[in-house]
Amino acid sequence: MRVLLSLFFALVFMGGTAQLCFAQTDSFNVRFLYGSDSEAPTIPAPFSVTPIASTQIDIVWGTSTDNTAVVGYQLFRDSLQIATTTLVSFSDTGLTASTTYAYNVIAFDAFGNFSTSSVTLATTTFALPPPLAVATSTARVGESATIAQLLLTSFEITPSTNGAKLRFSTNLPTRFILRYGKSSVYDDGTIESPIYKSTHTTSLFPLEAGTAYVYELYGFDRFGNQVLLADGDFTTIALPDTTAPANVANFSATPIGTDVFLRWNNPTDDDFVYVRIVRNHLFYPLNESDGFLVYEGLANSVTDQGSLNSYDEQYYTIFTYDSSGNVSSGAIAYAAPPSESASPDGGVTTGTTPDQVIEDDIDGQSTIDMTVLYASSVQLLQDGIRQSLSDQLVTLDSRLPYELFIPIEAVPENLKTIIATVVNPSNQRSATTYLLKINSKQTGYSALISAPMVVGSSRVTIEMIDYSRGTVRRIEQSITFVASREAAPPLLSTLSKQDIFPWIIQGSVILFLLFLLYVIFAVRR
Amino acid sequence: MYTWSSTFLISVVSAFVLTPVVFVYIGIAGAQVMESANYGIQSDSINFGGGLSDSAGFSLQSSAGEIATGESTSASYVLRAGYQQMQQVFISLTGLAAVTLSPNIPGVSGGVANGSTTATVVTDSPSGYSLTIESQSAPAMVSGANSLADYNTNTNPDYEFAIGVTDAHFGFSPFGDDIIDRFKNNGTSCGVGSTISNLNCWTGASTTATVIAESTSSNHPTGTDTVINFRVGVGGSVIQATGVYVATTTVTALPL
Repeated sequence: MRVLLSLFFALVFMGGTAQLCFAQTDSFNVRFLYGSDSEAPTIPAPFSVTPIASTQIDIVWGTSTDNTAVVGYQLFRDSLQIATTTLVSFSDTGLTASTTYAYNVIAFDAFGNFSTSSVTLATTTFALPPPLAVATSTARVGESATIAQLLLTSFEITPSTNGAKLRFSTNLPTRFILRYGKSSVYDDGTIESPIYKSTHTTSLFPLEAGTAYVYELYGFDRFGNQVLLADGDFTTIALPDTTAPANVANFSATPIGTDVFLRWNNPTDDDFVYVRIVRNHLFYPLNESDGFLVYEGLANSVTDQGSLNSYDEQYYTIFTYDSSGNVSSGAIAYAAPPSESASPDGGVTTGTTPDQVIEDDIDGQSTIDMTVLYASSVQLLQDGIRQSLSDQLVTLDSRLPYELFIPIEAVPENLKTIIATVVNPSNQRSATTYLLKINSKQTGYSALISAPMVVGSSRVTIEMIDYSRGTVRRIEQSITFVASREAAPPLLSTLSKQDIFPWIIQGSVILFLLFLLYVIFAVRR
Repeated sequence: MYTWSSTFLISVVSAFVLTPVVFVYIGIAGAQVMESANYGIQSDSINFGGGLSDSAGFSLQSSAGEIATGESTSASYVLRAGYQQMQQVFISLTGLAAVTLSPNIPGVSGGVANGSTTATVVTDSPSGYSLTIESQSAPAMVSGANSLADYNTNTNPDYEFAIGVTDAHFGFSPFGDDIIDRFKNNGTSCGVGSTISNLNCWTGASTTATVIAESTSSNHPTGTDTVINFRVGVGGSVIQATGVYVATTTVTALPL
């Protein structure tokens, strides 16, 4: 009981939106002044003012010293304080062209002592540009401008999967505007820097992975003239391939004496690289390391010699790998000497003669919880079209792979194994059985199955198996592989009573609780 | 076979019975399923299947275990594999700010300067959190080559901040609902009693993380405030260099 409650308790929290965090840390200073101090800091020197543009003047001064500690500087423009800073430089922007400004700076310590003012220096912002200047230069790195003097001296753009970092330098201080987008409309973003500097670094974020972007970068020279510094394109880095390859088709295990002959058809995925077969005498290997390695390679058959020498039965799982290292969910087969070659307890198939028995009810002795897997929850996804096993008519394109998918919320929480058996449409006596494995997004159980490449009738059987390997739930549905799929989406009228029963219960409870709230509020008023 | 009325009745009764049961359990479940002095297991489960298999040629430790294994990512590593994975936990630490002790203490007669800041911790960790404080240096309060000694770091803090005429000390005192027993008092002594009072139970800073507050349950979303009081006391006969003394302090909130 405690375990069940713990599970429920854990699920309550896992269903929330909280984020995983470790320790949170914050540092701060505790400051204290001791004694009395009347000694003022030294005068900030040397002191310089430099016009950078028609709208900007840069001021730089030397560090002051104090018998205790200098804690900041006050900066004045034309005798009015414009900034308090702990730095020793300042860019005064937003100024008027052709105007003279005078600056001085004063240092102060923690005891409130102020230094004597620095020298006062004046300078004049640049004049406005002559009327001709518009964007005429398309200067690139290493080229010379024809009219404007502003030039790029370095330019580097470094894409990532979700953004890009831009770093560039110019021969003169400049402010810039960067526009970017997936087309020459440049409508994905604009970055503007108002400060005249010679080296700029900025980030373009967020961007889409594996996407081509175009950009244009404009600088403004000291007169305010706009100059096209660079334009071009870049492509963000594509996200890594996390899609599992399709499973093999027609995987079968045939006992020959104490050997087992394994046969399969490899998938046609472009990035398919090899298969790996693993066997276990206890149960089907559920991952690539869960048993004895039988074979790795690109063949379509192999003989597992002597595997029935020591054990009366063997369970095989074949996994496919793609070039990105993704692994399929696995196809399975069972082998035992001829006298024992019936399906193992629970109806798991040998891969050649699937058990056709349908069990409609849950085994009362099962350790799986009482959540029931319904046919409507078992989805077949192909070429963007979704069907379910509750549909009266399930039609698949024989030329395309398809995915069997069961949402995670549709299966019992303490589920151990789900397998799917698909009858070969060209040979009703042959079938392939697959493991359904939870997908990388943790949204459901999935198996990607290769295209059969033949038309005909088939049958899909979904089985849930508990630890004793008994089948506790089986859902079976006929499907048809056609040359060109024209299946209509399932209609509401095709849903069974069993399928809509949970919806009715949940809806009723919600309506009742709403009614109860209404009554409570009405009474309190 | 269910009938509509019986199903509806069962649903309503289930909702009213199970909901309080679940919430009561959440309230009392609190901390870990199993724990030792150093580690805690947040939740457990029963697994089955698999086992050791031997033959002349090999030994196989197989598993018929879970296929719903999860997340194992990132440079700092978050491994939450397996059914009933460790639940995700949210924790935040806010409110801390620089502290200027006041008033300034003149160099002639000595005196006491006080200041404080507040740490607010919010976590939905069902096992709660712990809040620690540590200083960057020892002693903590320094001004260039000069420093003030840390207040005593005895096991039990002093109920009152005591300064002799030749002492110059820097210490702190936490105050809040979650402070640990060491900082609670009985009106005269700390480390005994259950009284939580402000500006009592003083101790010195340390370069080792010192736990000041702790909780064994979630406080989400309201959070819990812990006030950290700082104090410098300088005796009248102390000769201390004039200067700006700074103690760089780090506070850490850790989900349990």
